[in-house]
Amino acid sequence: MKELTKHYLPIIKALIIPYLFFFFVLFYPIAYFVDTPGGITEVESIISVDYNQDKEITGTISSTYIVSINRPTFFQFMLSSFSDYNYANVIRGTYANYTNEEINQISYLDKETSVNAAVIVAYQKAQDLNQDIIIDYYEKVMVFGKATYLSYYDDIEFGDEFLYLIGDSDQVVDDHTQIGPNTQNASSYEFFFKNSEGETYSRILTKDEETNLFGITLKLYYLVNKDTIFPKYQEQSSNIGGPSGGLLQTLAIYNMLVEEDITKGLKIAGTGTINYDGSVGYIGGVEQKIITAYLNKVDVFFIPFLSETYTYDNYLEALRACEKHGIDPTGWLVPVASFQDALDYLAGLE
Amino acid sequence: MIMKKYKELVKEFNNEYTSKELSSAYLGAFFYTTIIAIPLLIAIAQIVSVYLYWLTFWLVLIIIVMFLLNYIFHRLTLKALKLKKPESKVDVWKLFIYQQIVINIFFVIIGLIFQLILIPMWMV
Repeated sequence: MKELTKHYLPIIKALIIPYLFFFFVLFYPIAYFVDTPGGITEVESIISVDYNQDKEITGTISSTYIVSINRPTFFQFMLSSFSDYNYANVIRGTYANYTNEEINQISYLDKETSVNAAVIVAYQKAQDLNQDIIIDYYEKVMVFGKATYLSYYDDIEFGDEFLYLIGDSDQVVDDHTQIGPNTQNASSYEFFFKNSEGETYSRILTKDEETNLFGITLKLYYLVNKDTIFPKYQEQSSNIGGPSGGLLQTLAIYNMLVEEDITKGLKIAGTGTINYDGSVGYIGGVEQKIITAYLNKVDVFFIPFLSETYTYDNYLEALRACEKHGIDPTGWLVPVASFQDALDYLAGLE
Repeated sequence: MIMKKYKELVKEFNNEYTSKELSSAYLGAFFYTTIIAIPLLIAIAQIVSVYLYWLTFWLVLIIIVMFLLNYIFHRLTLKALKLKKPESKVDVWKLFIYQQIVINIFFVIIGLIFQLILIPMWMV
């Protein structure tokens, strides 16, 4: 070792500063996000239903993911600028206050609740054709957002269940929509939560003086009752988060439940969240998802189309992305407003 | 035939260099190869994260980079040995070529395991 060090010392001396600078570029994070094309994942590899096991599914139904890098390093940021397919911008809104770990927590919470919504919608639809199918679900109000001024910020985790609070006149308030009207007389109230390990805990939350809010966002979810559901389904762990696979998950689960093969041998992909009433919702990263679909040569790509006049409507954004990258959207880019629209489109295919 | 030549080279090599000299050369080469490898592999990991849709291409590149690092490691080991004994006549590089081939085959196998088994498992 000594011989090598002695021999290469002039080179080592010359390169030490560029070397350290390169490390800085590799590790220094910046307050941007970078969206890049990702891939498609067959829903069947994540969710399987113990039903119709002999049914032959000739095509595939896949959700589309993109790679979203929050607070990239300088090096990643520079790399992203070399391709038109990538999109980089400053982190804005509530996400600017969240750490990367918290953004991941929200993303996986979204994914988990999205799968539940997909199961509920698909099973309910399949019930119309098969009365043996049973779907039962329950409500759960969970922590979905936290402001920086939230008291006990670190104690309350995303996904923790809101149980109740002790409101004005010592009234127990378990309806999250009634928190406002029942917390008028004081600035601090005791909230009760249940964490992911099933432990109940309480924290006294104080309203922020400036906003007069507690700084916590609660959201109502419907979760599948796995004890009573028929047929049972299995969900594999996944590295991909977010709710944007909801529509395609619904289609794939529905296809596993019904006799007919709705894929008709096609490579079907798409994007869009699914709501409990079967309508679809907007997603982000449209441009990168369109490129991903194009690179993966899908036959059908479903995309939410909810308004002809809204500039940032996903379908209109997709058309702009196609034009920008010279992609012909004819025949494969399919705008949908609901799960039923997607089913109708597939039913209409030869 | 190849094995016989290899064994002869190992024998010659062992007569020329002590295990202390060899381990010192390996340690130095490993240290400097690691210094080169760390930023290089982090940079490649970040390239992969930004251009994930060319994953197969990057996997091939990573294997090539591992070949290169393997080459650098053996070149540095050779250099250290030569610096220790400049008068040595043993063809150490020939011996190292055999070693590099074996290690490179190992890298290819690891790459194929990633491509065919691990990546399809992770990308769900």
